[in-house]
Amino acid sequence: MLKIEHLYKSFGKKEVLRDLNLEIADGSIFGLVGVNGAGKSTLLRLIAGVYENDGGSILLNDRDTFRDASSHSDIAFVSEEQYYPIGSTVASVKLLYECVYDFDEEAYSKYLKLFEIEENMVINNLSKGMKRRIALLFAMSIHPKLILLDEAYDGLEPLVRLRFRKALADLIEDENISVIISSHNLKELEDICDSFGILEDGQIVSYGDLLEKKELINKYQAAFREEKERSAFDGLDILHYDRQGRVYQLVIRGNEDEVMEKLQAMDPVLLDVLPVNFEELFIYELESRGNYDE
Amino acid sequence: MNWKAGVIMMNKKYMNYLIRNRKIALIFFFVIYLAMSLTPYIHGFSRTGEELFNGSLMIATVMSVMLCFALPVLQFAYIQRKKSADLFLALPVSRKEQLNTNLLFCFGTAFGYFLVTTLLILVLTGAADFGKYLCIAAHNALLFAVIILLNTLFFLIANNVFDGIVMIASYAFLPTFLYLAYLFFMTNTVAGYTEIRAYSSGIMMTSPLYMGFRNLNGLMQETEMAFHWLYEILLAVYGALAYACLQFHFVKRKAERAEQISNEFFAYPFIIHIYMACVMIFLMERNGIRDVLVFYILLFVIYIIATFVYKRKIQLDWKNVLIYACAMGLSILLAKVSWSTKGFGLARLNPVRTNDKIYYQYLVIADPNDLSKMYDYDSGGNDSVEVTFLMEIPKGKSSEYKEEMDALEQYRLRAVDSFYTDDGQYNGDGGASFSVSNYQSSEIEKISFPYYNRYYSVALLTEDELTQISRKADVKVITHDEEWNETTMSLEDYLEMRKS
Repeated sequence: MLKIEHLYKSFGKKEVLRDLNLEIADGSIFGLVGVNGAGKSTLLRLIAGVYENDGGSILLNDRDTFRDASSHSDIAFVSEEQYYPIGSTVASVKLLYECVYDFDEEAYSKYLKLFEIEENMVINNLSKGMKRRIALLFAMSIHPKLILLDEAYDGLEPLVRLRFRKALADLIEDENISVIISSHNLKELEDICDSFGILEDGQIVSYGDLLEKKELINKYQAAFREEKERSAFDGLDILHYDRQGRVYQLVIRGNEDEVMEKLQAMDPVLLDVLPVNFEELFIYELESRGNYDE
Repeated sequence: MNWKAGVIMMNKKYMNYLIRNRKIALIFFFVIYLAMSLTPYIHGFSRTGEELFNGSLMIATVMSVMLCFALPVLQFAYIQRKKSADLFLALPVSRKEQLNTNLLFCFGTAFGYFLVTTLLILVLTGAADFGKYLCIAAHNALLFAVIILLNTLFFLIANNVFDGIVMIASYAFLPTFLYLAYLFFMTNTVAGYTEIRAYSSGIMMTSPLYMGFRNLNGLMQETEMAFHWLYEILLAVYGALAYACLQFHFVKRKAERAEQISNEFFAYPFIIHIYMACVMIFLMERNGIRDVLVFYILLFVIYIIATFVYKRKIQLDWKNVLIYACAMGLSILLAKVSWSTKGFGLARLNPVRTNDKIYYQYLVIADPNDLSKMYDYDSGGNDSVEVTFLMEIPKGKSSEYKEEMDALEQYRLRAVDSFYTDDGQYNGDGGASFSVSNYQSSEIEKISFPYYNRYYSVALLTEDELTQISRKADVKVITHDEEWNETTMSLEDYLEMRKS
């Protein structure tokens, strides 16, 4: 289990993360989302032990990920831009992982085929997508307990993404690993993540089970005989409010049945409920805090 | 914590990776290294087997020292780049292990190359004493380790690869610059101060390279140059300090420093200003900025360029101008104070050490009719005479020469005063040359005569003073005829001859 408590990180005078708390259970795929500059990459680097936290703690199975370098053998960190020395081949990069990690040759061969990679490929000549495949190949070949993917899932071809998702699912099933994926592509995250966290102003402002959260937030379309003021909906946790004449589009947080009951009580001519997707959930969460500019 | 865990703390797996990853490069450079080390045998620069071996030994040492500059850059560049820092700092190898393993790799390469190459040549030729070779190898091991540690530190003071290389170069040249600044300052402001005194002042003890090669020569040539244990101790101290500082610049280094400007105090802020201060000392003139104004303007342009290299943007703000103006003002003030106080009082201090063997030496081209006057070359004549003497006072006999020594001290003070008189009295090489040297007893010190003062002055010894000196020293007067055939005679004979 990854447990982050009261985490602080600043770059000079700029406070990037403040009093951040987060728990990620084993076997979970956690989607980390936030606007640009929210601190997603910083948080992942802190978890990977690359950056030192200014305060608080990050414990992976009770081991401090910065101070206890042995914990790094359980973490596979795939950064946004991977580093490959000039002239390096897949085989030469493999040497590093073989020497310092618990490298699984069998898994490596399996993923080599899965991601359609050849060992003698000169990496610098490859496309960004191919370089990401190579990074994922090594991340999955070292028996990690936690995989950190910083935008590294973006840009993969649909077929490779599908294969990766399946491979990841197998890995979670077999080894009960955790995965944290930061991405801007929320549609892709929705397909793979079971939990999520929204990073804003240096803190996780909303996090939990993705399905549960999505169930709690719904889009309601209602039409009334008379026009109603916004105050008529007081008592409902409205994340988004849009009105065109007597037709209202509302995104409301709360138990669907309870919300429906309240809206029905207002005697609508038409009332419909639609589920929200992850992207909408993210937008409405930020909008409700006044931090999303359409 | 045991010593293996605490001090060495190398990561075997990581070392294994480094060796296997760099295997081909290591072999390739070793072949070049070996070939270069064998060049004395190919060209036969020297004749004896030992000379040839010493030639190889020196070439191998120089190449290993070059490796000590290059390897820290190659081994530690990863922490200066964001992408590679993400990869390597996330490895299950602690920062301390990474530091120690990389340092050991650098040392192993530089010293390993040296050891294998020189041992191979030694075994094949049998040209040198094995005991002496072991001493040289032990000394070089220390030298290479210290240079690697220092260069690693200088490289890591910076926050990116380019600045790291600039820091290594800047710190490597800094002792020489400090020495030159000290030499300029002392010889310009303290009358009688000589290059030999500056050289012996100990300022070069700031240079591990100087101390390392000086002691290497001492070991290789035994009798001609001294081996100083102090240098070895200082080298070890510099190495230990560098390793301690690396705890901050590597082990506790903030990874986010990668690819930022190098604004740590000992990076550009220190380097730019220390070099600026050195150059300002070179520019110090008794006439203030009158004669060197153009150089001050040029130095300001260089200062702005250096600030651009530091901050990657041209920045001409009031702070830079103010710092420069203050430094310039201080250097001018320092020059004025040093001349008005006669080199802070140092010039008037009697340089004679009565416990040493003392030499006074005097040489002047004088007027044949009055030996206390400079010869006037503008007179159109060619009848100048050379007056010279070398007075040697044996160790412990200075009391027997008291009167002469007092007279010469009075003359020295006149020469000192003329140095600080801004009326053209002090005219360098054209005046009388007067030197006072102290020799200690050891054979080695005879070569370097560290306490040597030399004065040039148009203030000459009077004929009475010369007569007094001639009682204890052989004062010679050299005359020449129109075809420049020289005649050397004693002062007494010359004065007699002139009278007649």
